[in-house]
Amino acid sequence: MNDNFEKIESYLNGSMTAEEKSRFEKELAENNELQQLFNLYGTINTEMYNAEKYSDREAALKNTLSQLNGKYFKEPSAPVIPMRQKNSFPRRMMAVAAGLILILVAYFAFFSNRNTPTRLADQYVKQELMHLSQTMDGAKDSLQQGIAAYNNKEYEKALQLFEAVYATHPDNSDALRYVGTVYLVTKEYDKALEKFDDLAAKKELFSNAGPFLKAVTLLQRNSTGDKAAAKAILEEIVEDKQEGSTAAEQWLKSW
Amino acid sequence: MQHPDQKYVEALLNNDPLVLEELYEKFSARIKWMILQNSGTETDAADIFQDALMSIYNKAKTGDFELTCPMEAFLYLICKNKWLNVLNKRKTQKVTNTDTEGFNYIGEDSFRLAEDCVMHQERSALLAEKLSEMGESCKNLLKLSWSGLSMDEVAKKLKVSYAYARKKKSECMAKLITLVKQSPKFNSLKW
Repeated sequence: MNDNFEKIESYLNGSMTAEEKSRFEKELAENNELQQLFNLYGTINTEMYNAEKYSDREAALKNTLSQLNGKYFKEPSAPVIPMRQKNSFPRRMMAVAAGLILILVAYFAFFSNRNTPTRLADQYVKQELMHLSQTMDGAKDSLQQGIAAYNNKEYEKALQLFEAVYATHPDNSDALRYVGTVYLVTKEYDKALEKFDDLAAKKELFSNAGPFLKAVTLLQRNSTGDKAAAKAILEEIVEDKQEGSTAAEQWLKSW
Repeated sequence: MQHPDQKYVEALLNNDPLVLEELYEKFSARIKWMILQNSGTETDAADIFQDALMSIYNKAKTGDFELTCPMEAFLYLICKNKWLNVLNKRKTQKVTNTDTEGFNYIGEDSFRLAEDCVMHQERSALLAEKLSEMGESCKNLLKLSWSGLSMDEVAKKLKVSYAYARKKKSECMAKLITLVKQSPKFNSLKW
């Protein structure tokens, strides 16, 4: 019996000699039981190969469907993460703490003369990019779900949602900006730069945050030459009055 | 010519959230109604709907899927089929209240495709279940061999000889096939 399995494996693997192959094919044609085993072996091999090949995509699709299930069926089969939990004491405490931190950061920013462009970029990320606003219309609900995940610091899930929207709607520049932002806050600076470069290349946009976010990312990465590159970008932003020019002007003063 | 609703199949393949949302908006209510009318809950409806979409995806990813009737009718067919299976398992009453008005344009080919989708998914579930019952060394070797690597590369990864890896794979496949064949579900699934 096991001999048959070995033969099938060798045949499918292409490791039989021409003579062995033709002998096996003859046996297949004459032996009904071997033929059935061969078909079963082949079906399992193909199905499992496909299952392995698409496992990541399948997980991403399941995630999207679970979220839609939560919205369109009252008792969701998968939990939907609420954007805000009402009456949550720890959350309120965190909000108070966050408020205090913001006051301290503002105090520090106002009274300290030691603001460097790198520090300003750091403050910008913490104050402006850790929470995205829900400004999309209802039709773009998947982006909103991505934003909700992002605000809950579920960056992997947010990235999947934003990437899925952008992959199917390459004209959606918000999705691209959010993909880059996820990479920026998760400190994957090279990937963030790639995304902000793509965003900056979208010349059809009336207002394009790509260059400014690229400068922020360079200042955050802070490798050799990054600061100088960021400066050049910020100067260009100010000169062309691009998105982020007010902040860019202030940052340049601290250089 | 391609059926206009083929776009929903493409949306499943590409995980397009916007088109998938449109699909839920248009078709989930009718499925929900069918299941609620036939001893089910909203949770059952949600599970069946998602499961039906996954079975379409699993069939479509093999490249052998062309919709020849409206998506709504096709989804209804699969969900009804799946819900009947659930009720059979729960040993409760059969589906009696269905709303198939307007679905008389479903051809024989769509019935076959729907049956194929369900069958394909059940086969995959049985294979995954039996694979999980096997020992770690077999599971590893089989998964590597299905990951697109050649047997030569699998052997290198596992630090064994090519001849051993090939022999071991056929032994593991023999074990898996025996387990699958012993399952009572085996004969009801086309292989």
